[in-house]
Amino acid sequence: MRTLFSLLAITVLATTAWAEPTFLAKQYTRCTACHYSPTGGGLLTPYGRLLSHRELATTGATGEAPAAGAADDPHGEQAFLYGALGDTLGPVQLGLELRPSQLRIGFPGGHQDLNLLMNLDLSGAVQKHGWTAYGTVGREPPHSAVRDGRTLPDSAFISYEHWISYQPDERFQLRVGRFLPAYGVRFADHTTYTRRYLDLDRNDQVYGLEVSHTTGFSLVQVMVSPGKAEAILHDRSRRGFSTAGRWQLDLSPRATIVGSGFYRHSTDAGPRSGAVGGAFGFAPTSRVSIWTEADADLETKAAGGRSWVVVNEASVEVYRGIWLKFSPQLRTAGAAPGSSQVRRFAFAADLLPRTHWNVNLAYYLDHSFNATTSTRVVQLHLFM
Amino acid sequence: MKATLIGLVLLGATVVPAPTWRVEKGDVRVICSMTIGGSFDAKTAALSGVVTARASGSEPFDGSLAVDLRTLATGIALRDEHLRENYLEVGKGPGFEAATLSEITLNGFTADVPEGKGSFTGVLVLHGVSKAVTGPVEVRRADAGLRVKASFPVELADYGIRKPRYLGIGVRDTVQVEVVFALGRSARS
Repeated sequence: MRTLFSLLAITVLATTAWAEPTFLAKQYTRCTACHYSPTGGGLLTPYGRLLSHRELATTGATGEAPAAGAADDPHGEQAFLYGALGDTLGPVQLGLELRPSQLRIGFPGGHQDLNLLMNLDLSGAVQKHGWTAYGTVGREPPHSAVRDGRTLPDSAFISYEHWISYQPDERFQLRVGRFLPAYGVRFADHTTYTRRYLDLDRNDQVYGLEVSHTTGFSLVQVMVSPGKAEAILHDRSRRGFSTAGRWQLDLSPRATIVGSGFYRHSTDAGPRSGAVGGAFGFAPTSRVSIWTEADADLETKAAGGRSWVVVNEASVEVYRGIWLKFSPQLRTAGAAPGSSQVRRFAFAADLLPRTHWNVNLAYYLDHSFNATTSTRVVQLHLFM
Repeated sequence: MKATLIGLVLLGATVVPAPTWRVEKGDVRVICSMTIGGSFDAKTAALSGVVTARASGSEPFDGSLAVDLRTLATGIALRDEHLRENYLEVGKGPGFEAATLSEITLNGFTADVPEGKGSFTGVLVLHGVSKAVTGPVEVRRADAGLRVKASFPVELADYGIRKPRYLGIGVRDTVQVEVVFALGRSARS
């Protein structure tokens, strides 16, 4: 029984990265303003670290910042381990991510409490002459790692992302390695329906080649891959060519539209599948952002069938460093027998009392197969 | 008698003062494209000025429009601070704390009541440097006055403003300025 709920808990919580499309409210339409990855999430750039310190943390408003024109400053509140290592690392940027969590999962007739360390990852990056080398090493939680179709009961080593990119100018970027494909909006919560049901979950990275091209208000990203990274490494039967494309058009610094497509060729274990969708993000004020994404899930697997996935997320900064979120989500029933419509109402509060501290309080109400479950989450997300 | 009438008409034509317009309300938006793609806006409502049309529509307006650069805001405190102090250097005094547009000439309008779409030229003083600018302009009647919408690009290097770069993020070399303001007849006219 405990294993069952551990699995459920991992499904709810584990994540490899923290990306924030809510920052559209602060006039940031591109992930690369704060993250090394062109698809967002993961290690923060020096600018992202400073933003976390000076503009997000409740206590960071008066903090010192590197001088104007600076390329980096490994000292101070925003730096790795709060600058304890000083210049020791040279051009290497590091980040340590920890996420102790407490859950209460309610179900008809009872509930289950769990205390888990959901993340323990070290990420690093080096950038020079247009080249970026990026990688993470860490621990996959118990009952999470899959080897040849079998779920391991213990935690396992994992490198969620490792890639090299080259950017010859401000427009083009080439990336090769293991990364999460560009598709739709990368919501911070990886269990968001548009991520979970479209195979963009915590370890759905691919090994592939990605090309990004930006021309001011437009960003196009195209990826080709021989298959999911975990399948290539551990499950031959699930290897299959895949390709994805994403186009983002910034209508203004606070409004953007996104169109995406994904195609996965058949594998030994399943038929071909894909998705197409669109998203719209809008920030009416500097403290509010509203994202809506709708996708047609063209999955042809017998267990799923074709369906629609729709997610809305509204975020409000009620006080400096305190964000409230509300997110209704829906996945319609597929054509296959036994397929059920699923609905979710998610409520969350993100408290950012100090630089790189995020106390996340969340409540999920999930409804499927005529049953409702609730999940209460309290977690401390430290990104040092 | 006929000569007297002609004389009065001519006198009347010369003593009618050219219209003077005062900025009653304005919004300035500076669109800053970022080196990583995307953009952010720096905004202010601190636009002021008085301009007077000359008898000949082809001659520049008298007067100028001014924007208080100390009030430009982007919504991010550190970015505001860098914008004002490190790049626009508003602390250096007159010529730096405001941007002024003078010697404004409208092309495609009549002098008395300009209305419609056309273009403008003017001399922009920014960061202590004077340089000609040009761009499209649209003028519409609004209540008792006029509503003006204009835009023009600004090459930062032309004004001696160094490239805004910070921790790997920067603003591209050219920013776009959009100005929307309401003009009312000044008491002087």
